[in-house]
Amino acid sequence: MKEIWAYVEMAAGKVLRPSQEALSEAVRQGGQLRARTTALVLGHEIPKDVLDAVGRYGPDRILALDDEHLSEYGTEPYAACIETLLQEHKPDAFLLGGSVVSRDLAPRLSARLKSSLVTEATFLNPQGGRWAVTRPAYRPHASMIVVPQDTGLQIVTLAPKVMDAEEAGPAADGLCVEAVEGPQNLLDSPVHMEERIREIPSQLDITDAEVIVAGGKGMQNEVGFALLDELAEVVGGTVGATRMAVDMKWRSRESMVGVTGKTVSPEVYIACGISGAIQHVMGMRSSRTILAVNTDPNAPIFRIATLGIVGDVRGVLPVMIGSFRKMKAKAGKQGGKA
Amino acid sequence: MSAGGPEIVILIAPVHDCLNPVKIAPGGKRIDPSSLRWILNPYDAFALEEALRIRDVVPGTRVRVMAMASSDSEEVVRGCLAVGADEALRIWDKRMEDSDSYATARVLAAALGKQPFDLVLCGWLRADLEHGQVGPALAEILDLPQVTGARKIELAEDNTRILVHKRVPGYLTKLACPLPALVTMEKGQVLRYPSLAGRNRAARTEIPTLGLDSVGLREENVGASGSITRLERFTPPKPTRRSAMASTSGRMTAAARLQRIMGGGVQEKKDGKIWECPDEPSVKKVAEHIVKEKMITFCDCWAAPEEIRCRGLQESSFDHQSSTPEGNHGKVRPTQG
Repeated sequence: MKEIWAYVEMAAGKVLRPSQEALSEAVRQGGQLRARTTALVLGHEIPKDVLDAVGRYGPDRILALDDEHLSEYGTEPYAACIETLLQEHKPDAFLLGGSVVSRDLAPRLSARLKSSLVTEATFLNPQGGRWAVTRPAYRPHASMIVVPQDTGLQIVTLAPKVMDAEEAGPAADGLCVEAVEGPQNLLDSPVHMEERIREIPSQLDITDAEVIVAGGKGMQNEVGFALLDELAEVVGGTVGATRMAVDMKWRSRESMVGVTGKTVSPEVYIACGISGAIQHVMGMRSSRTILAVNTDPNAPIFRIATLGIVGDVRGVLPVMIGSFRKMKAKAGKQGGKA
Repeated sequence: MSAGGPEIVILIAPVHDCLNPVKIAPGGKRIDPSSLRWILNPYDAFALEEALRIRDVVPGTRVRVMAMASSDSEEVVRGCLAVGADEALRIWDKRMEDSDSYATARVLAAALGKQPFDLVLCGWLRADLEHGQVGPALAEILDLPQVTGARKIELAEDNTRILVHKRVPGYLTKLACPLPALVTMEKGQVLRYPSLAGRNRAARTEIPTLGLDSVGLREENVGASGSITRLERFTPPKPTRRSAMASTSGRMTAAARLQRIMGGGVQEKKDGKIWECPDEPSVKKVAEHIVKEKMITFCDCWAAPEEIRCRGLQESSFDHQSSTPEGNHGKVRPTQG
């Protein structure tokens, strides 16, 4: 392989996590295969911050396509632009992170270009100028290795949260951002947003959240759970729940962490009133930092906790939220001065 | 659109139930069929229910089910008739075996091209292999607008477009899409239960089957030769790395030991520390500690701070404050032999 492309998705001036993973993996593979890595950014009025952030992941160049039709994601204009660029530059591989957008875009592109696509990749093994891609099948009983039929462009979307996203350091001095153009007469998407029905509380799905504030039986009722919403807001997290809390209808099933719910691995997991039954722990034990609050000092959650607090959540949380708020306000001020 | 209501085609896939262990057949190219049981892809079930709900409110709607499926999974297709689909069609040919997502989309597109339709609905991925490719690939082949990952579909009053509820990060949105279109469902309502009459009707119905020639494709368009990817082999999943388990202390009672094992074993992080917080000042202190140690930071983005990432790997980097109780409840000391 001589040229590997990674697709960069951004929102609110930031590179989204799945794209960080795709970029990182492209750079790692590029280093190993001595291939040039290119980051592809599409949008309208692309913020310089995003391009700087992309540069820190270490691609050899950045292609930026800025067009007013690309201000919001739409399958058709995005697919048309990427198709044009892929055909013009003929990279060997195109990597996308696992996201709502890549699920929509990648199969459409693949069918349009008749280029092989493997979704949900967990491992890329270079083999004769292409990747043999490992991905799940019959989860959790097996995985499968899939290879493209020909040696043309290979499109791969990554399974989210499998590959490491690592910044390589400050962008190389010679890193250039090339402005590129899409097809002439780009049309608006036939599909358009009619309205935003509602904001999904706490912003993120728990599997995407970097911070999860989870509650269990110890929260006692919905009123207790409202405390978690407050804490989540302060620390910028998403609220999760144990099976017990979901069964009691304090939370929807979507926020359930554990064997029957979702498996999560956030940076920080704050377990409130959760004893730590194995069914729950299985779903969150790979969290990087685990903070636990529980009345019972012998609760199994403390055995996996980075830091445990023995106390009643209803007493501890309000004070903690207050303290965090103060410190956050202070941090905000300092940041403003600097 | 026909005189009455919309023509809705549901693409369904019989999938393998993954709740039971799946055995890989020798050679690694196939799954041992004896370990498999066919069920309706749960995401396709959402699509079917959504279509039936549209038919409930819009008179004249027709719901047709189409599947590329071998005869041993015909019962799954029949099940769709039992819950109320108006028609079912099965497409199969021995030569279609080993088709990948693209080849499958091509077969379905060829069959669809021969019939009238306003809306094509399917699940956003098949639950066993999770490719998630057939829907958008088919939309591309038939040049239809697409909405993937929908949760609810409403037919707009003028019957020329649909309003689709879809979740994007942070929001539940309503998208307007002109018909004809393809929509894939991520979530939805639970599929209704078949009535006895429905089951009887389904049992008596002969499900028509189209072969390769009837859909107008040739051998090189399907199976391995019509595919753009190739399965190299199935592999058993990597064994998950188990952290070393310390034995439970011999001094514990049998009941306590059992409780500990059942409650998650005795794995522990080495830097685990327990703080007793009976009153307000102690909580404030621990809150400050958490922030000071950067377990929680108030920056906008969590991805950046490298030091936090490293932190989880360091061992007991905690500086011990005098107010911290010594007790480390999680620690299990190995008994001296």
